[in-house]
Amino acid sequence: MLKYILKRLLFSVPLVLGIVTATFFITHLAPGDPMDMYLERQRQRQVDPEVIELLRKKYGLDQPIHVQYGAWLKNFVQGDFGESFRHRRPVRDMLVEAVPYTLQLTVLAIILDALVGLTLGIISAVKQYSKLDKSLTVGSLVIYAMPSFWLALMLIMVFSVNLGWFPTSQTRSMNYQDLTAVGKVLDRMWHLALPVFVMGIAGAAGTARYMRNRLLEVLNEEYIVAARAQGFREKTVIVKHALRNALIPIITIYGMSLPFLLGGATVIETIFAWPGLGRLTVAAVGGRDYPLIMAATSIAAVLTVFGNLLADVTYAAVDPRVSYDAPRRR
Amino acid sequence: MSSRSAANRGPILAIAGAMLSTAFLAACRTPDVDQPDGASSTVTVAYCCGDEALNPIHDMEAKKLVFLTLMELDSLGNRVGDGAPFTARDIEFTIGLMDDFWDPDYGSGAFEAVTVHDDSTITIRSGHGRRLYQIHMVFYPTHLLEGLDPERLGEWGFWARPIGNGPYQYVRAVPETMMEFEANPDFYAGVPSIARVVLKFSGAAAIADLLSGQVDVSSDISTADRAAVAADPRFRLYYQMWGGSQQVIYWKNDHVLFSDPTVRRALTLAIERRELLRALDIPDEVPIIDGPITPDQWIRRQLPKPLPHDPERARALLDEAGWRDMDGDGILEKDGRPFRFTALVRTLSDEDTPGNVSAGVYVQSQLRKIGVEMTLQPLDPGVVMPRLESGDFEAVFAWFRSYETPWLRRFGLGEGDPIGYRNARLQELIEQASRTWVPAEEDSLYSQMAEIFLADVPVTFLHLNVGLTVAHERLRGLSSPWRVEPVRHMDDLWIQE
Repeated sequence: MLKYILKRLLFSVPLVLGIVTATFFITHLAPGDPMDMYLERQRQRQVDPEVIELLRKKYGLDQPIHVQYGAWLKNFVQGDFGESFRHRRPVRDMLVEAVPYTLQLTVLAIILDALVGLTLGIISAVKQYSKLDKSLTVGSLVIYAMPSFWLALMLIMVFSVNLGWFPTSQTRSMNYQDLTAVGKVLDRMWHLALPVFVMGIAGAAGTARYMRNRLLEVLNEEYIVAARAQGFREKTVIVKHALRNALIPIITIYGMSLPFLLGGATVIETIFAWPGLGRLTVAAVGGRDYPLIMAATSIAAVLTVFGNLLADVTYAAVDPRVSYDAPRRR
Repeated sequence: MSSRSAANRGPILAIAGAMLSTAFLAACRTPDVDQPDGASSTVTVAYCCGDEALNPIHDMEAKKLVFLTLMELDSLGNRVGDGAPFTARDIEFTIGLMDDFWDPDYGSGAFEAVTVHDDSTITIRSGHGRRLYQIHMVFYPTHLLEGLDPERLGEWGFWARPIGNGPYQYVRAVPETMMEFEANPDFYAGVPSIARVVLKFSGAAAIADLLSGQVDVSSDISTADRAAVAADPRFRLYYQMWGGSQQVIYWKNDHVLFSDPTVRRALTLAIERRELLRALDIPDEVPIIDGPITPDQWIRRQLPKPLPHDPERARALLDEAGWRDMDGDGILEKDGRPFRFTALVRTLSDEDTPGNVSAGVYVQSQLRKIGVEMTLQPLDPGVVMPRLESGDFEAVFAWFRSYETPWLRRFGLGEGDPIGYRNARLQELIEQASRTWVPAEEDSLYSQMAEIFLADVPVTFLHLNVGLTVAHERLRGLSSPWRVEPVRHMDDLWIQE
């Protein structure tokens, strides 16, 4: 297993390098000059072409693209993401500020997704073809098909604008600094409620469908029939025999959701004015802020590769039928 | 029986659980935290830009709450928030600082020379015949900033806790949430009527914050969201516009289709621009202006008379230019070439300018009526402008700024100019206008330029760029079209109880 992990880690290096290299060239070859975009946002008043050239020189944009790539790669391997064109701050500092906000959102959303999705999937499978199963099936399909931005806007309209139960946006109340420690936690939960619900419930709808189908497959396996024939109670058959096996592929799904932890909240962060990595990336793309775009992409690439690896390793750990060790010759 | 009743209980339990969770989370709410207080003179503004609102690299209006502009130089000698005097040396320092940092307002040679004579006397010479944009420049206290590394200006902690001598003083901030200011009791022009100002960093939720009563005013409302507040008696709408900032169609003047001014005039006559404005939800009081103007002309409403909507005349002009529908397919032809072309349109809006797809679709239908087929190519804003700059287009929907010399300089150059319009007289007028400071002379030069634009129609002017501010009706003192930006004019506003 260790050999397998090391091998995968070794292969992941050129893979990540390939992804970031492709992203670098695609981003830089896309039309739209970052300095023009920056100055346009500054309302582009009377800017001398000399100034634009000086700015381009400062950020190395006057160099041929392969030279720019070499410089970027050298800094990248040293963990230096450079300075944001638009914010004129080190990208690393901006990431350090944004990532915790995104993690709060996405970790809670994944927990909600798992709790609700797996529970409803199991209920649906166990009560197959009942009214409850049909209702859950229709409900989950409706939510799954619903665009998350639309759901977010509707929830804001109902629960924030009309009922006033939740804030429309942001991470804290304006009197946050006057609150006690408990008050601060509750305040953050209050602000997280709608965005986490939107993200979590959309994922839960998909998870519920997947869980239902997987559990139904397992419930039809011969060993389940055998367990029932041996006189085990239905609850024991489902929880001890069927569910454990049905959950194995779910691990892959959650392993693959690792990149979602940092990059999956783009739309929701924008709608709820949540100052995380997703909102930062959207603004960076709009402003051709290359260093910020490259940092966000690199993080996503690394997480995707390691998410896959994590899923594979966990799969082998929980399912004895899966082994990555070379078969012994007889 | 028992399994059926359990199944029936499932949804009920789920609903009860959801209600309990909702009630719990709603109970987490800190009551009335975000509600505007009707009894006090606090104004909460939905603001776009987070903790960097006063950082000069973003050039936001919020800086004018705390710092003074070049328009308010009679405040020299007044005290900064920490008691130090505000002097001419602060102006000199700021210009030097921002010049190093290449801020477009201050830097890039906008100032040729700055001489401080004494604490209250300074001479500033404009560089390269360029005008100063006084209303945008603010000045920072030398004694608080001079020791800091200008290369890291964007990271200075000063911008998060600014000290200045503007109408308001910084009080506190909640990260990523809000900044709070209170009226400066020593403000040189008198204490502002509104005692406290809160900038709430609402981002895309500005409209929801307005509707839910969490903010009093916002300038981040798109015209698309106008309908949500237009009929609500709680709000008043104000439109910010000035005649020098427009959306236009740039024709490729040296392209075979557009090289004849008669054709360009015909295309303009074919477009019902008043109806276009209604389609874009732009109010009727917004004028249509066919040409560049000065701010003085705009204030006095001395505007060039626009070309009318006259599709019959447009057809006649095209016929006169040799464009006729020979094969009966509804598209005009000349020398076997159909009148078909592609126009680039911006897909997205940014802070200053709207997207053009809606306008493009409307113009497309209008041109089709006179036998001209325009295909729209929607592109990212970052792509459209480079295509315009490089001359790689047939027609482009984009913005036009008539009071900015670099914009005007692209007209009349002929082959070296991306638009391909050649007019030596226009170039001469542009250069003269860039050198004069005499308003009457400037007006005269711009009037002559407008006549050339009207005669040759190198571009078709569509509509002014219009910014919308929505304010709670209790907030008074705003007025269209000049006093619309609430943060910039906060010291002139008041609360009507």
